[in-house]
Amino acid sequence: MPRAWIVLLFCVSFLCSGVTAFADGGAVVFSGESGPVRATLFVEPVPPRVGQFDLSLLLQDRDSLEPIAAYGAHLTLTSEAFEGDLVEQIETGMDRDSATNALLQSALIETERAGRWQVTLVVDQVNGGFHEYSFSFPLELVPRRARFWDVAIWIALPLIPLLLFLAGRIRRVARELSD
Amino acid sequence: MSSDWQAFWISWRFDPGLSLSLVLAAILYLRGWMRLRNRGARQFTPGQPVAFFGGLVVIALALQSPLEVFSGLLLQVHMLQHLLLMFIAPPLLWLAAPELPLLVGLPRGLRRQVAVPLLRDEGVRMLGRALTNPIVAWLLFVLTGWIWHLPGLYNRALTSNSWHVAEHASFLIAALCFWHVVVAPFPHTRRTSRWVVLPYLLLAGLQGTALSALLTFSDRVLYPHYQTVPRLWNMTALDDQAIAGAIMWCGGSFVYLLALSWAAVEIWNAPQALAGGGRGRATTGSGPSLAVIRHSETLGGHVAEKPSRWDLLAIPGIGTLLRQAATRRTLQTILLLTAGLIVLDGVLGPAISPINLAGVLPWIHWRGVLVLGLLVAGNFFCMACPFTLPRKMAKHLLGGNRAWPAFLRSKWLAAGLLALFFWAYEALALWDSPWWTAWIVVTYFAASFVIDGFFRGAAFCKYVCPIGHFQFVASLVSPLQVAARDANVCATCTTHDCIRGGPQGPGCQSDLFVPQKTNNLDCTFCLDCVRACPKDNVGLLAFVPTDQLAATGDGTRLWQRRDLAALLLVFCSAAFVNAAWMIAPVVALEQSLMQSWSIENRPLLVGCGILLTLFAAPAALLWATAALSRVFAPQRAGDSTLSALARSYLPAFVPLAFALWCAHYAFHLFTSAGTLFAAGNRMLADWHFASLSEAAAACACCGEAASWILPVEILLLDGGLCLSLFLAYRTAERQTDSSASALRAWSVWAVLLLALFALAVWILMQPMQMRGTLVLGG
Repeated sequence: MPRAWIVLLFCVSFLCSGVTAFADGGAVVFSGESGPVRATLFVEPVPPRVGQFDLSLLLQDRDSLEPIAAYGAHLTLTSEAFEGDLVEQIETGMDRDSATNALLQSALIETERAGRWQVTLVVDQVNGGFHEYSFSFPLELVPRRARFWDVAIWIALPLIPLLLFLAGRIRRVARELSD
Repeated sequence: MSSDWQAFWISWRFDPGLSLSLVLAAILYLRGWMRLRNRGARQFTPGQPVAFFGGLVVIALALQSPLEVFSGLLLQVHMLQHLLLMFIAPPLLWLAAPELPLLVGLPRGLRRQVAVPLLRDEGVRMLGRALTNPIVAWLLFVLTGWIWHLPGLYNRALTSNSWHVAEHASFLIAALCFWHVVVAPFPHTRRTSRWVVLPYLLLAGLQGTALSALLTFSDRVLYPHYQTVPRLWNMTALDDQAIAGAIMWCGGSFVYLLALSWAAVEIWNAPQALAGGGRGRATTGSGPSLAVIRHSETLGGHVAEKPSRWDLLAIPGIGTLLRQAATRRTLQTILLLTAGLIVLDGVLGPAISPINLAGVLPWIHWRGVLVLGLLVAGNFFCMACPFTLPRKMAKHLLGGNRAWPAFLRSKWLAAGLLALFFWAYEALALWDSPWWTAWIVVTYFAASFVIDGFFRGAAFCKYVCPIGHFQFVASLVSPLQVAARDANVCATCTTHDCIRGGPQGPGCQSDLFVPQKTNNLDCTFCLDCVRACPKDNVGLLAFVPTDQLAATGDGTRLWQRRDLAALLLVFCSAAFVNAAWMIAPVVALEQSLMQSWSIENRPLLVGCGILLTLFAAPAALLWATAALSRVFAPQRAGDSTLSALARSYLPAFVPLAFALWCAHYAFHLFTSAGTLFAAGNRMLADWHFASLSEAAAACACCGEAASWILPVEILLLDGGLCLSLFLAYRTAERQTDSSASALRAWSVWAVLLLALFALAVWILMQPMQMRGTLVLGG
């Protein structure tokens, strides 16, 4: 019997392990136009937190809204500790390989600094062209959650077998009392 | 095909966990289905595997295909995904009558010791009965659909992966319950008349129509997320929403209609069953899970279920290797050489722990491997223990025929030495002192040599060795145990070679008689008994981890021994004390006590702390809990004293404590495994065998803990808690006269166990480092 409960616990935890999977997508944090292109950036998780977060880009033709396949994209994230004081800068390229959705390009970013960041996106080589298109927008990174919440699901796991076990025992007691 | 369509078709999200689960389910089903077919079970038709695999493929398509990837961009794609999960996959799975084949398809041990007990459990049966009740299943299905379509929740699921997974899981579970009532797969019998299925489906269809109409005819976008995402293929968010509603409407209605027609045809073809319900009512109120077990026993019972347990020694190759005395000697020699290196480096090397073999090998690698070995197998370190290698020589030199003094034939000495070891660990900061570590190894050798040399048998192992006793207690939760393969063979044995020894080899040096052995206590896994038995009746058998601690009958008297209780108490409380003394709040408390009380003598303070936390406080807590449980529930006559009652429950704490030991030591192993290379490199460089790599030393120790480590640690605690709670309940059942009393008594102990679990979680969540072992600062 105890082995059964432990195996059940591990099966549930195995299935739960997928919950933390990181993926591109999430919520739109910016959408804007520059020249003939329209850029939409998604962030995951929502809201973005310090630690790892994912920025994904969908580039479309401004008029037809057809997704554009061939282009290069570069991100610069600049943190502002307080007004105008530069304290941290992250530069990274975006690529299609790290995006699950093949329409998007994405980048996995890691930082420990919460607060307001300025994101600059530069898109070039659109369909083989030489123009650069630049977009800029603010991004608010919220502080890391209390560590407890990262593992709350694991801590609560024994509740499942415990409640089932208790329900069975209480029922047995009720039956014995009614007899 | 345009480039964006190409992008659509190649956007697959592979989830290894899900894929593995689906493949495993397919294999189990096919295995069980074939076994049932071979036994002539005519209920299982060739179409069923097709339906089952179809159901699994539909789940895979819904959750791993471009449908999943694009569900955040287009509502219609998201709706199609939900349609597959709620209307296509569940009926297909149930049409395959999967429960019996999945049960029969499981390996025998897993079926008998895991699946069947789980299905027999009263709580699981209650849950099964509730979820397959037509009213509950209908409400669950309908409410799940409506609640998740509320804009707030729907939006949350679109922007959070965890919520999205929760949404899909609840859809699938609710739909499985709903369609179970409709299909009533074999071996279940309908609990209501087949006619009930008609309004059941009709009403579900009606509410589905209302929900889809709401989406289709709404003049505003209900889910703001779809207004913010870029529009693909020039489709407005409102059009997308209307198409999604239409998909839900048409797709859902089609499936409802199909199911209604099927139910109607079934009723038409079986008019005789009207009075008694479609396939007849369940004969008992035992619930669906028992029906599955009953049929599995009827259909699957033709296969002779061997009574034997899984035996490690029966595995070709491994078994042969383990049986050889030379294997043990080889392992002992390897560890002896390692111990030699530890002593050498501890005495001659630098007094910097992370680059000294004496600072890392015992305190990071050996402890980690030791507990993990105990967790997954058994007490294999005692088997490879280097201290006992020169035993024969010691006995030859010092006589070795004296009897161990009678007044020391208990666990008091070992329990005291174990507590002393924990005191030394804290007071002398052993983890940070290669020199002390080296001398402890030397002292250990000397003590085992002298004691084994003077006294008969394995006196040092059985009565003295604190490390061995730590392992004896931990191995009470291990899955492997040296035991007789067939009790009947032992019953007819007259030579008792396993204890006395015989022509095949010496008997047990710890005086353990295999037929009477009920646990791993005092067993060093030397396998002398295995080699000595002329009938090859001793093996390394697999047991349920709690079998050893949940002894009944005569076994319960064992745990009433006060010396043994002291040993268990030290083992359990030291798990918490040893881990807690590593974390910042406790270190800060110690420093503040030393300052506020102006204590200069740290070993004295540590000694007082050890006495308080290893003995006094835990004993008082146990005593108080025992008193409380006696107030709540009257005990059986005979267990009159509180102390006896507390001792009865003490074994229940071992699994939780062992889980904490595992989590603690595995943490150090996982985060600082690289120190072995750094220290090895440093030692080789000292002897001019290699050049010194500073980078290796700087990166090897106390690296940042990977994100998976804490969940694994907590998972270990989860398992320990479950086993502990179960053992406490078994004890409560033994101690009381009725189920109600057992539950009341257990609840008191359960609260204590839950509190200890919370304490352990809190300890593990604190930053924990090997103090003093970080090379660069820290």
